[in-house]
Amino acid sequence: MKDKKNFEEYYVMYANKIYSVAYRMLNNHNDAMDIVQETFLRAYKNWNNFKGLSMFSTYLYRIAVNLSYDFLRKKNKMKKVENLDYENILPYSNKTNFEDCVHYDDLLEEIKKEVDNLAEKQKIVFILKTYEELTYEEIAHILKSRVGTVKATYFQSLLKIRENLKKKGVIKNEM
Amino acid sequence: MKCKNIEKNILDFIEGKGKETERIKEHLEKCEKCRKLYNDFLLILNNSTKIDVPHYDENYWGEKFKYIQEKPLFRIKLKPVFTGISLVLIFFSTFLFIRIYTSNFKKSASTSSEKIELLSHNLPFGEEEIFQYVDYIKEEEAEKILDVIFKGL
Repeated sequence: MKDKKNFEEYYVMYANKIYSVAYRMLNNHNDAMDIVQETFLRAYKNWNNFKGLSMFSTYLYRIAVNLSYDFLRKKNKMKKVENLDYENILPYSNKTNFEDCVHYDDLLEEIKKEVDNLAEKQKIVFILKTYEELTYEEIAHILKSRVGTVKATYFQSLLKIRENLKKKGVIKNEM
Repeated sequence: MKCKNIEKNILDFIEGKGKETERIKEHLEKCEKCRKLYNDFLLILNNSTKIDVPHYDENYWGEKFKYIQEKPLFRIKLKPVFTGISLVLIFFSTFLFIRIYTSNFKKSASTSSEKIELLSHNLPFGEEEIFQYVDYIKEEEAEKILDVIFKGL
């Protein structure tokens, strides 16, 4: 029997996971919290239609991903208006060797930046796979995509991060 | 095994999955380019997992759950309602303006010269030009033409 108490158990079980995905997508506690609450509010409305736990978690991830997408799009629109003449100058352009110039904390910071700079789809696939440790099948289900596509997107996201870290000199270029 | 196949299988290899583990290992020992790709991917993935996000315990989420219970389940979205109302108002005010303006316009001109004068304010040519053309035709015909124009307005 599905009741309010049952839903609360699921909320407590999944809220942190949804928060983690939203936080990594948006990089902001309050925004991530809004996404969590809105996600569960929508799930609560459809609570009686769920048949199993696996379907419920997929549904939660799907709502959270879509809400985060919407939020990012709105935010990016505003950013474009604010930064019309903004020029991005890379701080590591002359550096070529990771050991010589980038400390451990810097490496984490640079990776974080590059994850943030990924295209929406690449970013969410990277987050769900790397941090949430979901399988390709689960991610494909959440994103309503094919397993092969998800796998290729994940590979591309890693290549892109690697490429940008190379450009910044955070990781070594090939010999 | 070729480099292209390594790219295809490297993610499964990193996860410790896949069938051709031994052949991939052999290739990585020989091929510097693929070994670099493998090492870079490992570096990115191992360090990515160290990037933390705030973690909250069950008590915190239990408190937050109250917010869900307090919120009304069905909210009327006001944005589309306001947009709809605004559009209807704009449509009716435009319609009313056109109706009032054209009826006043028609009422205020009874003779042909008045009509010509009024028309000259609303057409891209002047009163003199209108008179020039109207002079070629009889006054009765001109009257009829002007009536047709006014009905169309």
